[in-house]
Amino acid sequence: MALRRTGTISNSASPQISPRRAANASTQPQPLSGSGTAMAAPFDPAAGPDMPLTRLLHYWFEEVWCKGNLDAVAEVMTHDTLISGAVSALAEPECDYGEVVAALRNLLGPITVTFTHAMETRDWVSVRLLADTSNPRDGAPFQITGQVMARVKDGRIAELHSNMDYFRMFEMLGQLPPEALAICMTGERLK
Amino acid sequence: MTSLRSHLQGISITITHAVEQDDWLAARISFQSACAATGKPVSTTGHVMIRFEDGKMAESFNQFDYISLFEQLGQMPQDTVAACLTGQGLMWR
Repeated sequence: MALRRTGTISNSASPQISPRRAANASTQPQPLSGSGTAMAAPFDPAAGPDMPLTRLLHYWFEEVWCKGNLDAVAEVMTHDTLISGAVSALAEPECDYGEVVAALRNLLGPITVTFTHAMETRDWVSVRLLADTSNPRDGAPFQITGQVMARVKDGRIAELHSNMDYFRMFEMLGQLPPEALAICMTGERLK
Repeated sequence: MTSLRSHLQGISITITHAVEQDDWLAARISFQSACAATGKPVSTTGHVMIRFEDGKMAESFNQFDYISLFEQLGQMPQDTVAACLTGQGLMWR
């Protein structure tokens, strides 16, 4: 992997990405844009650097996932927003996005999201995040990690690709056995 | 990882999206392989965020959709995430 001292973004797969599952790109990335890049680790939404795309993504997490404010979905996304991710993608076409958000929030205690790392270019933002929450049955706190890459167009999220550690989340909620990921790596099966 | 590789054959990785800034790289990855037992193609996605120092990885944060992968390998039920969102739990067979 070549290193560059200036920020760039490449994207080879957007037209091929399934709204429900993984991208299946077959070509190498092509440069799209390279100006106006910024990096923050961690990102402080109150006093951070001028990173408008990161701020938009943080607003989306804060309002939709932390506060359950579903009106913010229409503020930040459009009907054409392309979504990939194990939970987010369940919203299309099977059910309404609000139902997915409500189902997840119903499993968890209060949620707070921190962007530990954030990078943005003119159109794209990429973040690593920590979600602090708890098991509402016993109040036990836990933390999961995630990474999100989003393209912003006209002030709204046009594409959102996410990977969250749902293995750990469902394990901490008691819905998967302890050490489920490590044990699945050995070939064991769950039912 | 060695254990997981023994259940797969012909792993290929494609970087579908990449952002670079100074010493940091953020990339979205498409993972293609096949089940070693059945030959059935499997795929999943992941994200990595890596800091380079002197041309080597100094920090790396990885996130892969293992639930999707294990669903395709027959080790987890189809639609595991949707089922777990309803509160359902899984147990070892």
